[in-house]
Amino acid sequence: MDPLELIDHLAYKARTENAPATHADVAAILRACRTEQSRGGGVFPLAWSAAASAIAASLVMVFALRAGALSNFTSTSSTTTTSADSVASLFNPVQMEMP
Amino acid sequence: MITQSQTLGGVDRLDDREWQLCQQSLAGNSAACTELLQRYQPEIARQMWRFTRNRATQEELVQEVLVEAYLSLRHYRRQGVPFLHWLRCIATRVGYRHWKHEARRRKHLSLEGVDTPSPQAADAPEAEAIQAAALLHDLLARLPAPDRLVLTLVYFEECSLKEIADRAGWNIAIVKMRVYRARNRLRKMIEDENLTERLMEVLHGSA
Repeated sequence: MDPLELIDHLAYKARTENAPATHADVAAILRACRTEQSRGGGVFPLAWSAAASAIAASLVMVFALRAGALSNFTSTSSTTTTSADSVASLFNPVQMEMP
Repeated sequence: MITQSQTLGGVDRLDDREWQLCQQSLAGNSAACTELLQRYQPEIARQMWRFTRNRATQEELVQEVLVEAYLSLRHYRRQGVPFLHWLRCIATRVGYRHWKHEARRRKHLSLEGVDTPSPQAADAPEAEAIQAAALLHDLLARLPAPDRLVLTLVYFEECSLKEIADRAGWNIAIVKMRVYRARNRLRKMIEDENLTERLMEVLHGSA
């Protein structure tokens, strides 16, 4: 007998099973949803708060750079720039070979 | 307890009361919304039992469907389909998502919580039905999630290709291809693992 034919018979029998009933308190669930909505939590409160804190962090960074709060970092980076230029020149064979 | 034939013959149609409840719910009447969702809880419970054989998980999934239905109720108005159809689509997607979570979790945890009702506690035909459903559930659980979904809807819910496409939100051509491929995989699995004898045992009630 074809296995799929057996499965068809099995499924016919399986469909006669009575599924267990559930007893969810619909009123309580909806109340909880409304409370969450009124708090502004929405469906994905954690995702929203994570996104908000990421945006806030990047804004703080931008303002800090503009205000010169990271001036120490900028001044030390001048050496980095120099070394970066020299590294870049290594990858420019024309410049290397020209007298 | 509710059977599929009862729901198809009874509450599947959009009756006057249901329409009234829908309108009141959309207007913000929480009592009407509660009554509307309470009305379909047995049907949702029956459907979620196809996605898990664990009672606690079934309860959680039903709650998840109710929450999603409440939160997206304002989108229902535009669809123009019976409320139960709309609810079944949500239930199918919640169940499918549960399988995907389970698949990820099973990589770390090998034990699966299965809470099959004891066949001894039921009468003979019911015990046979429980065994058949548990075996079919186990066999389908070995397939990839998309294949499992289409065959669960075919075998347990007797859905047509169109209904599967509606519930899963997939193109009908994709559904057709998936059903074909999934049935072939199931056949190969039964042949490779010599499960024919086991199937015969359950079918003839000698398991």
